[in-house]
Parts: sequence; C-alpha cells; structure tokens
Amino acid sequence: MKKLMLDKASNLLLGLIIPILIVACMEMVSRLELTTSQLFVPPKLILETLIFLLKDGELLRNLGISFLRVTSGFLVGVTGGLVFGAAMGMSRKFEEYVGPLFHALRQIPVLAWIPLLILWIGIGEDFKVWFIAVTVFYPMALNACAGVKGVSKSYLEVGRVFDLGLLKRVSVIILPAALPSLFTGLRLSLSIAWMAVVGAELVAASEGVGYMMYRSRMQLQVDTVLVCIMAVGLTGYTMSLALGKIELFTLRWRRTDS
Amino acid sequence: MKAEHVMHKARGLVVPILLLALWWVIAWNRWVSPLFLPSPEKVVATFLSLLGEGKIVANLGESLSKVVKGFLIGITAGFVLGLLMGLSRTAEKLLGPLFNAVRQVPILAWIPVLILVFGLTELAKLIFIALGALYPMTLNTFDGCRQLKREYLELARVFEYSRLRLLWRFTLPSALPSILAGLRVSLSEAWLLVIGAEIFFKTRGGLGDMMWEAKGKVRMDVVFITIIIIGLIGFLLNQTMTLLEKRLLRWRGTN
Repeated sequence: MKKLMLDKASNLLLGLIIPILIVACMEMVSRLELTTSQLFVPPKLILETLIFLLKDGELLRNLGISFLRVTSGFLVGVTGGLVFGAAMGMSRKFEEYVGPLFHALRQIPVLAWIPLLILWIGIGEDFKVWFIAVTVFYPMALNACAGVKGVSKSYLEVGRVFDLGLLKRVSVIILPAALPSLFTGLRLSLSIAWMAVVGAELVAASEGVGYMMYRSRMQLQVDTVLVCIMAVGLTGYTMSLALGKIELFTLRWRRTDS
Repeated sequence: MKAEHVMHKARGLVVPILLLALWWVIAWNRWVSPLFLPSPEKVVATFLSLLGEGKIVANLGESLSKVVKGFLIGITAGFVLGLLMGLSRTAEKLLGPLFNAVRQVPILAWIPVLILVFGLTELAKLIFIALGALYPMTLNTFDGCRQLKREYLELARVFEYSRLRLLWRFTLPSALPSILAGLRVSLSEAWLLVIGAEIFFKTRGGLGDMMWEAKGKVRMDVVFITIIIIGLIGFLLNQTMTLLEKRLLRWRGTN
C-alpha cells in the first residue's frame, strides 16, 4: 500500500517537472527581457489576467455562450447521428441505399463546411449550432452503426424467439448492447464539438471563447489568449470527465455481466 | 451471387441520382435563388473555366505542398515523441501529463497564439498542420510500442539481444500496424488542417482560400467545386495510405 502511494506521488512529481520548467523559463525570459517574442509573457501576468477576467465575468460569460452552443449543436448532431447510424446498422437495405452517399460526404473535411453553411444560413447562432451538429453527426453515426452491428447474434435471436416488436427489440436488446460503442462516439463527438465551436467563433462570431481569442489576438493580448486556451481545454476536459462518469454509471450492470 | 452484388451496388446509386435529379429540377424551376443553389450546368461550366484558367491546379498544388510538408514534419516529430514515451517509462511520466493536458485543447485554439508568435506566415501554418499531424502519430506510436508481446520480450532477454536489436527486430515490427494507422489518421488530420489553415490564417493561396474568397463573393458554384475537390483529394489520400498499410503489413498474414 505504501509502495503504491509512493509510486503515485513520484509519478505526479515527474509529470510536473516539465510544466514547472516551462513556467520558470517563461518567467526568466520575460524578466531578463531576452526576447521580444510575444509568447514569453510573465506567468504572473497570465495569472493576474485570469483573475481579472474571472472577476469581470467576461471569461465566464463567453465561456458560457460557447458552452451553450456546444451543448445544443452536440445534442442535435448526436441525436441525428445516432438515429441515422442505428438505422444503417439495423437495416441492410437502408445502408445499401444511403451508404455510398454517406461515405462520400464523409470525405469532406469538416472545416470545409463552414463557407457553405455561412452562405446558406448566415453567421448567426443557427450557423454555429448547425455547424457543430454537422461536425458531430459523422463520428456518432459511424459509432452507432458499428455498435448496432456489433450486437451479439444470440441476443437478437432471443428477441426473435420472444417475438418482440421493433420498439421492444431496440430499447431492450439493441440499445443496451450497443451502449459502449455509443459512448465512444459521444466522447469523440464532444471533443470534435469543442473544436467546431472554436473554429466557428474564430471566423463568424461576436461572442464566445473563440471570438474572445480572436479579439485578443488582434489586440496583441497574448495573456488573454493563453487564458482562453486554458479555459477551453479545462472545460472540455471537465465535460469529458463528466461524460466518463455517466458512462460508468450507465454501464454499471456490465461489471456483473460475465 | 453476382446479380445480388450488382443489385447491392445499384441501390447505392439510387439516392445520389435522385438527389442530382432533384437538384437539377429545383435549379431549373428557380424554386430557390441561384445564389443558394446554382444549377448543375453552372457548376460544371464554372469548373471547366476555372480549370482552363489554371486556377484549380495552382490552388490544388499550393494546398498539396502544404499538406506534404506539414505532414512530414508532424509525423517525424510525432514518431520520435511516441517512440520516446513508448520505450521509456521515465519519459512517459515526464512528458505524458503535459502531452495529455495539451491534447485537451482543440487544435484550432492554437491558431491565435501561433499568429501572435509567428505572424501570418507560412511557417505558422506549417507548424499548425504539423501539430495536428503530431497528436495521432504520437498516440499510435506509443500504443504500438507497448504492444510488444511478453513472450517476445522474454525471448529477447533469454538470447541477450542488445537494446537496439530488440527495438529494430521486435518492437518496431510489432508496432507497425499501429504506426501505419497513425500515419493514415495523421494524413487526414493534416489535410483537414490545411484547409483550416487557409481559412483561418487568411492569406493568399490554396483551396481553402479559394473557397473563402468564393464565399465572400457569394459564388456558390465555386464553393461547391472546391468542396468536391477537397473531398476527393481527402479520399484519394486516405486510399493511398490504406493501400500502403495493406502492402506493408502483408507479412503479417493471419497474425
């Protein structure tokens, strides 16, 4: 037990070495004024800016706006992807009809959708939500399809033996069995959603974290930019953790499964 | 069996053909403004004229050169990093946490920082693309290194193979599938980021820029064309990588 704790402690320390070195480096470089490069701002300034922005409420406000966008786009895209992917997984016919087009459109890098969507729906809230939804749709659909296809044949046979209707089959057999894949899709979609919202806000927004980064960049405020980066990273990470906890909770019956 | 196969493929064409027909009908009847949905003929005509002007080839070449450069830099760095962390537990503990922390940040968020530090230059774009290619490559190389089967490791120890021999003969070959998968993912990531770089860094040249300009001038037809080309190139790059993967892993047989 003691060895385990010692191991964990030493791991933590080792992991902190490089970040501490970087911070120390930045501090030294800015003190000695070795370079005029914008990147080396004194860490103290970053901390001060962080506190200021938090007090001001500006960071939280923009973060909140981005968070809302992410959540709405995520929900729309994930639902669509789930339904579509599940349909592809359950019905051979459907997959044959829709598959080629689906995979063809999938080749388009998500960022290439931006100009098209802007021309179609402008640069309002709708655009950001739809863009995130489109970005999130594909990974979710793929994972849903894989998850549904991966349902053990024996389970499906049980459904047939008991003569279960479609709705019952989906809710009682297919969905629970596909859950692990679905959660993988959700996790992937979440990080993609954050990327999408930052991207959308960098080019077509007047609020939100991405916009904040854009504006501070224009005003050459490196400290604010770095604060935003950390904020986005942290929020994304927290949401990931939350999702992970939900996953563990939802799949708790699996641990007793042989 | 053959007939079934043909039917299967034929079904796949039904929806695209229907959509094309729908597109043509809508454009013909002008149910939607031509600004929203240009007619198929217009798109083809514009494509041919752009091709004639050489604009497509020029921009395509520009984007491709970026993706190749950024990709090569990124996978080299990623491979080295992944190898380091994969082979040495100490390196993993030193670099791992920082790497994972940085990974939480969406890659696009680095753009403002890069612009501030390097300006709106080619270098900034290359670093951006390389960063994107670096993540998957590192993760996959790292995973691959850790995949070496216990038995092989023991075998090497019994024969007292040198570290180098262990690496070259055992670890790397067993890591090859992961590494090749990493290459594939890195390439598509790099292609995505080339387009992103051309949009977000707002400088001349490349397909992304062509698309953005077209958006500004509300030239939907050009936007359509660029999207199709971008998607096509992405697909081709992916296919090339997959073929390479299959070829290099032939010796694996049924392993």
